Amino acid sequence: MDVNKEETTHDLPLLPFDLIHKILLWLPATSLLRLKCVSKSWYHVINSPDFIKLNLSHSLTSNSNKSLILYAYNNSLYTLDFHDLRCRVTELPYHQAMANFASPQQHDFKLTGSCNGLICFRFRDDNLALYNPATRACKVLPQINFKNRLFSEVEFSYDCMSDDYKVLRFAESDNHTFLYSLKINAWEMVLSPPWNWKSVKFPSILVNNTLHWMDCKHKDIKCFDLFTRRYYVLLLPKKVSPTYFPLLAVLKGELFVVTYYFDIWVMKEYGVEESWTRLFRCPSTQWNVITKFASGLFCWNLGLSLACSKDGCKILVACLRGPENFICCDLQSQEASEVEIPSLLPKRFSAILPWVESLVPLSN
Amino acid sequence: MASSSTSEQKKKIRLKSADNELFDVDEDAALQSETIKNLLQEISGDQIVPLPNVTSKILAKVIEYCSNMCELDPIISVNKQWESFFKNCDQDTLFDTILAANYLSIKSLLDLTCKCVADMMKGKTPEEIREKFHIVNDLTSEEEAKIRAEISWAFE
Repeated sequence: MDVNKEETTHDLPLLPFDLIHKILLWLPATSLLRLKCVSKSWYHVINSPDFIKLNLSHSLTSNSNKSLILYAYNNSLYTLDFHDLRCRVTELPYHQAMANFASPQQHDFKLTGSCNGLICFRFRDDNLALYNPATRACKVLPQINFKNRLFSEVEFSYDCMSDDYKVLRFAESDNHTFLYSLKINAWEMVLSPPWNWKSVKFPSILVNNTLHWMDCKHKDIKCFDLFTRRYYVLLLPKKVSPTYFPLLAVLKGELFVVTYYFDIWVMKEYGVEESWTRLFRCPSTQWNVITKFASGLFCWNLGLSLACSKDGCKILVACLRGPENFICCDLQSQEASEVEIPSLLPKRFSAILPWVESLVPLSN
Repeated sequence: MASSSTSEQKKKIRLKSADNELFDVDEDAALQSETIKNLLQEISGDQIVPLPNVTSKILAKVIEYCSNMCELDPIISVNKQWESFFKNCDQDTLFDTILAANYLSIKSLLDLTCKCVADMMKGKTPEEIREKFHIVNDLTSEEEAKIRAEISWAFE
């Protein structure tokens, strides 16, 4: 064995290993990868499934690594970290794994979902793959054995009750619903909902182990519990009329509603409709700030993503129209302001999704 | 906000550091430590609480932190000040504070100091980390080369 040559062999480690473990939980995935070769015990800890889960839940709750992932039309991936009014943009290198599925000339490559550090993308007609940009692990999903056409929408999410990653797809003609499980690596047909999939807005929002879709008429929220596979309906805040064009979003594991007038509501206690609380109301004097943003958002019928500043006092609202479309809502002063991100200015995006880095593996 | 306790005399707890220095601390500050809370249940009210694992230098800092956390200032700004203190202090102070926070079981202080060390580790190479933490590399050169090859991009 290659015992260390340094004189430091006589020194005791400065911190006991259980404290090193606590410290490592605070690190982002890319730093952890590098630290695998510090020593045997570090390697085993960073590789262990329990540590990977703890590190992920730590990143999700501490919001220290909380950010958005953006997919530009030239096939490049960016992450955006939101700090107060400044945003840090990092371009992720174009990985070989992705290049295998899409060359920059191909336009049918689409980022369709992001969950716990994994992204789901659709490529070459109707194939799906999962990818972890941090570990660069990639997995192509099996095809669905079904003759009729499917909706192009793909809902990728994590079922924490069965500790499994799941993908939901829908048949266009007969409302059939298909559920993929990463653990089983297969699709199965599940019971279809009492509503038509054509009557909801995609993409869905994952909160409380349940997928949520806004009804196309903005009347209520359609829900699918990933574990019990039960369908149900939640009501919107009483003060939010369908004419306000409410949209759904998620932040820190809570269900949010953002209206055309930039009122931001949160469901404080999941499932309790009386717990809808308005966090932000855009003053009418500031509507000029949000009009362009809002008209794009609602005319084009796009989803939106939220990010939160470290102190939790500001919410960044991002929508797909382009880089000029980031609005920062200050929950304390109740003011809205446009956020300019110069490094993103010439680019157009086909997806902006919540993002957290993780070491979540794609194989068992 | 209610401030009912200002006129009353606050109850003090007497702590003794490893180097036998005595500290009189407000009870609500001292009770942020689960360890002190448990020790107080075992000894009678006016006795001194011995803390043989914490030096006076570190204990003074820990007490200052706990007192700050009890003040009415928003916790966020208190935390920010302490974060900047730990980011700029020497490594020995930071590591000793982690050990003290762990022994005294003060979760918020342990989280804060762990986070500061993690921030310090972010850009470092494995070699630098081994040196900083006095860790012996027990991987063979073949094992290390294999791990590095699996994640070569992490070193670019």
